[in-house]
Amino acid sequence: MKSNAKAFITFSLGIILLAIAISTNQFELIQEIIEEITKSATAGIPIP
Amino acid sequence: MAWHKKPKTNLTKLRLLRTFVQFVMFILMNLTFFLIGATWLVLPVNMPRSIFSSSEGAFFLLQRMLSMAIVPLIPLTTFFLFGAILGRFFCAWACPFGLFQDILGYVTSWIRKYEPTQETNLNSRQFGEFITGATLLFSTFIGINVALGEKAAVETAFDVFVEQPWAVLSPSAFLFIAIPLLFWWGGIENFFIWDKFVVIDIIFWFRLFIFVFAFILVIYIPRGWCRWFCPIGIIMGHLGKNSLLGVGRNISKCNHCGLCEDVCPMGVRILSHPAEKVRSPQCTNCLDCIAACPEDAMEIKFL
Repeated sequence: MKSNAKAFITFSLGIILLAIAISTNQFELIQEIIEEITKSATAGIPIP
Repeated sequence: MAWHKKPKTNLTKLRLLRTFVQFVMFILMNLTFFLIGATWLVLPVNMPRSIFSSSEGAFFLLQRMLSMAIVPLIPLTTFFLFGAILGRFFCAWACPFGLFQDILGYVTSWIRKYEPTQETNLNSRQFGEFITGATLLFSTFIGINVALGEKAAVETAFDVFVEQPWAVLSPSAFLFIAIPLLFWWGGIENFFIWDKFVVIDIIFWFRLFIFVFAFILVIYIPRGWCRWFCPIGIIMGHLGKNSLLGVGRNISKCNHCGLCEDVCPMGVRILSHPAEKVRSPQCTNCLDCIAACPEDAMEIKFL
């Protein structure tokens, strides 16, 4: 298979994954992770 | 070798430009420190999320989501989209740990650098392959246990390795999280009172050992960590080998002087690759070869 074809397949898979991520609200999860990190860091929890 | 030879003017200009871009990207990725705010942006770079970060490295989020028993769609999207189009471009032009290595290589340019053989370069990637595979397997194992309701058990058993196992040991996490947080919490006057802010145990000393190892490695082998150990580089190397962006060689102009190979920071044997496009998992599209070529035989290729 030609290299450009492989690149286009990889890109297409990325678009499909992005569409699923948006439709399943995964970006909201990132926001929750951010808040959790900020909360634990400002609480002065020692670095493991 | 790239660093001990006096580079041509064009190469110097390109490296200054790239360093400038890397600094700008570093500031943009840490906008929270400048009180602008954190975002959901996930990039193919070796930088974990801290309270200073406005974005996150995709491999760190990948570990975190697997450990939470969540299908890691967002980091996989990052790897696939950027890998397909740009290859390892972010390694050369945006990665903060890459910037750290470049600066370290430059300030120690008076120390003789070593260029391993191509065989050593490619075989040593197995270290990075192992780190990548082991981290993903372990995170998946944690995620399966979490899904089965055994979260407390795995937290007891594996402690700090539960959430992001590689972040605990990664030298970039040590550099961009552990050290800044020491200043954030303690201030410079307390910087050496480590036991107030850092748990001094065997893991701490192992982390420090890995960081010192990476530090020394990079002094002697340019971008040594990127070449052999970085999980992001391993993944992007596989996905980006056939990327649309790359560098090629005009055979009619090339006189096989080998200067492109001499200046390559990743040790890619450019002349042994097809002229159409260099398809090496090590190539980071840094464009040093294009800037250095005296015959203008090297060119950017897209599609």
